[in-house]
Amino acid sequence: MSTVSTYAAIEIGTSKVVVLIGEILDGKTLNLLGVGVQKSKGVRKGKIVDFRAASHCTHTAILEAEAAAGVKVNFVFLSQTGAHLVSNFNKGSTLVRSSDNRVTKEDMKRAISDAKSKQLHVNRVYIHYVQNPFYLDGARVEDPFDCQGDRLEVGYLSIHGDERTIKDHIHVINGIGLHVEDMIVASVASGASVADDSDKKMGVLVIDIGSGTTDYVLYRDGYIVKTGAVPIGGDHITNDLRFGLRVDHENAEMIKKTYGKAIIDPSDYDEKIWLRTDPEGGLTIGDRQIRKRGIYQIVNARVDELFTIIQDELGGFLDPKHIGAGLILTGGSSRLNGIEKVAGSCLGLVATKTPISSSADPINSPENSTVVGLLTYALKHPNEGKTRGKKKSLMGKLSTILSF
Amino acid sequence: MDTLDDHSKYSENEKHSAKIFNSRLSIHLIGIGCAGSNLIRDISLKEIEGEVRLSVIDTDLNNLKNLQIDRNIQIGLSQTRGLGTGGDVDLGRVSAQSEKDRITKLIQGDDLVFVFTGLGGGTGSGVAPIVTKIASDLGALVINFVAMPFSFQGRNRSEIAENSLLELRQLADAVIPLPNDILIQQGREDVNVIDAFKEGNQWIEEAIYSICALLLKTGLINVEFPHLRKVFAHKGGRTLFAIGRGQGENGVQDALNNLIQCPLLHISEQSRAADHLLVNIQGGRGLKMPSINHIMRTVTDRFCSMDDTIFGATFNESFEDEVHILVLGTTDLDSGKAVASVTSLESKRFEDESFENELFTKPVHDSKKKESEEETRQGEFQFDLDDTGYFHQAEKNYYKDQDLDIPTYHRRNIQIVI
Repeated sequence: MSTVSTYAAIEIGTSKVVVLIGEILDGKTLNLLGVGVQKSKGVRKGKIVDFRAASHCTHTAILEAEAAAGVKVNFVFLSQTGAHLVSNFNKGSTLVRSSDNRVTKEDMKRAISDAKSKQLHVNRVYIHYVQNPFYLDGARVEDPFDCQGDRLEVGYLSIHGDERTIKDHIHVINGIGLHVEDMIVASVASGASVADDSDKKMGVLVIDIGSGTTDYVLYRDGYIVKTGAVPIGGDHITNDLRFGLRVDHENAEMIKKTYGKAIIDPSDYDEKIWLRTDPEGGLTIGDRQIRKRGIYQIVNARVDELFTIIQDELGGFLDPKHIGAGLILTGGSSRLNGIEKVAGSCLGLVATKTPISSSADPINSPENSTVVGLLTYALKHPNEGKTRGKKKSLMGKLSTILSF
Repeated sequence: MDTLDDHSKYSENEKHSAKIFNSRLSIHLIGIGCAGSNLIRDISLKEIEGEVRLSVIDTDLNNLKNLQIDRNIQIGLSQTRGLGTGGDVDLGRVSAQSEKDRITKLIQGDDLVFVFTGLGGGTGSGVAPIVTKIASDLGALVINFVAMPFSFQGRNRSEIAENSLLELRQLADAVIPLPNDILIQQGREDVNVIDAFKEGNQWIEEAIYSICALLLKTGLINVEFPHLRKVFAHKGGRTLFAIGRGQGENGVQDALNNLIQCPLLHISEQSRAADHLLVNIQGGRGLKMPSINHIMRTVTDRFCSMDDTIFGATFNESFEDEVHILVLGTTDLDSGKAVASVTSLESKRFEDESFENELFTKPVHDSKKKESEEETRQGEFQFDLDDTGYFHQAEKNYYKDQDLDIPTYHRRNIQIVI
């Protein structure tokens, strides 16, 4: 038991807090031990707006998961989402210094440090650096060492976020006496769980539509080339329905889940549904009928806008030729009927949903792809938890803002 | 002591206000050391020649004697006997400090000071920071162009240069390093040494000319001195600097390509993105508005100038179909300015959009304005724009001027069939 590390992957999402506890045996296999799910409170669009409420439900979820697993958590991996996350692609370049124009390790180091040296605003902090391939005089090379050329370039995708928002999240975990081992951006975590290596090699776009935010990550040639978050999620669809149909939040949520379609489907859009105010389902005064067309129009407008924004954000990166594996939709809101058709036509990619299995299986449901991805990440980087000091890695990240 | 200091500051302010009334911009170009004096000797500022003051500060008496500059200061006579510093930075520093009063007198009253020097040597690395500090303390905007030593000149020299570069960044409003190594990399086989150096100096000449012309000449779109000050409001960050030239039918595109390929953008000492950007376009009479728009779009996109881009355009009679683009930018290092999550989503294209709007929104006639007001007064159900329902607690989401929390169908004016 002593050689086993227990990891907790925690996602403080907009609609729910999920805690997965897994253990890693011999650094290879991941065993899922316990799950804790709580409806989250005090979180809007991935941001903590009510600290006490958010802490309370997170702590309950952790305790629930610990009770189910029967172990205490050693290491916590925390996911980060929200529109405050920005990924920047920074190119580092250097002139090859040696007289015979052969690339030395020094040149490579210089190019890398150059790429990483983009300064951030004081209240921004780096979360990830993702390396992209080297280019020597414009031509891509896997390992430029000892190759001949003049100008060495390397791209780094740096993902950074708002320091306060991140600190709030960490503070919630610290409140229960646990330390956050590392943070992973939700989009990267989702990408790790739903796309396999061959997808990534061919190029794949993963869009995780949560309730508050939508995270996307684009892989090309096995590298992450772009990632980001759009502050639109399933909650927006519910809210739009609430305004458009003049119903309350619960009913809007029910309509979205039962009748919602992302496409304006002419086959049944003239049908009407009854809106029941009576919890028993009986007819009462105030009940009215709503035509499905209105529902479809509202949902379609929102979903279309979401993908238009993503398309806009991706800009030149969105080239179907380089995204062979197409688009994978995941996240709770990807359950929405017809959403893959809108996504496909809007982004010009072949869109698929992650298969929806029974809700009893937490690993395969689209809502949990982020948190499962977190655990997968922990499995792939097992040494991080052991070699680094308890808070060191995190402090290292926070301290980057202080250094030059 | 304190009161004395205050008093001197007060009189300083008075001088400044007097200068404003004078309304003549005083631009001063100071070369320091051997590299600096060479530039001052060779520089040609075309039609604005007489409006920029040129000076040289050096420790080497022989060098100064050969110059035809009317205003030069020989410093450190007692320390170096007029023979130069021999690479001793401390000697350079002491020499400059002993002549502080004369240097102050030289710079006094200047609005914009360009300091040019080669770092790594005694005079350059020793004197330049002191001159920069004096100029900066006097309230001038100081832009430094510094030549970095060849890597074959040894580690010692480049270390001195790196240290002075860091020091200058803290003191000057902008520091633009120009590594001599580029001269080798860019130089063709048949170019002789003198021409190679001249080519390097041409960048500086072009930059100084471009900035001066921007301020002194009346252009198509004017940039005033306060604009320039705004770009360089924060010290300490890296400076972005690039020049592009193009000629002929595709002059605009050529100039853009040339700009992006500018070798100065590919050195590690330079920043590749800027928070504040100054773009100056020089062109002949044939320069068209769509071309300017295209240039600005490409430039702001390339350098991610999220916050602000100041833009000027000047006509140059001697240019026929030639286009020159100058880009000068700074990054915020310690501005302490908050990047709220709302702004983070706004893509860099947003910047372009707003710029475009600024340029192309037509003034609305008064009668039209009234009409639109009346429209809203009609007895129709009004959506309360402040009420975002479920999201009223959370921070607002803006993307391209649209509040994403307001239902999309409402923003897109879709009639809902219930």
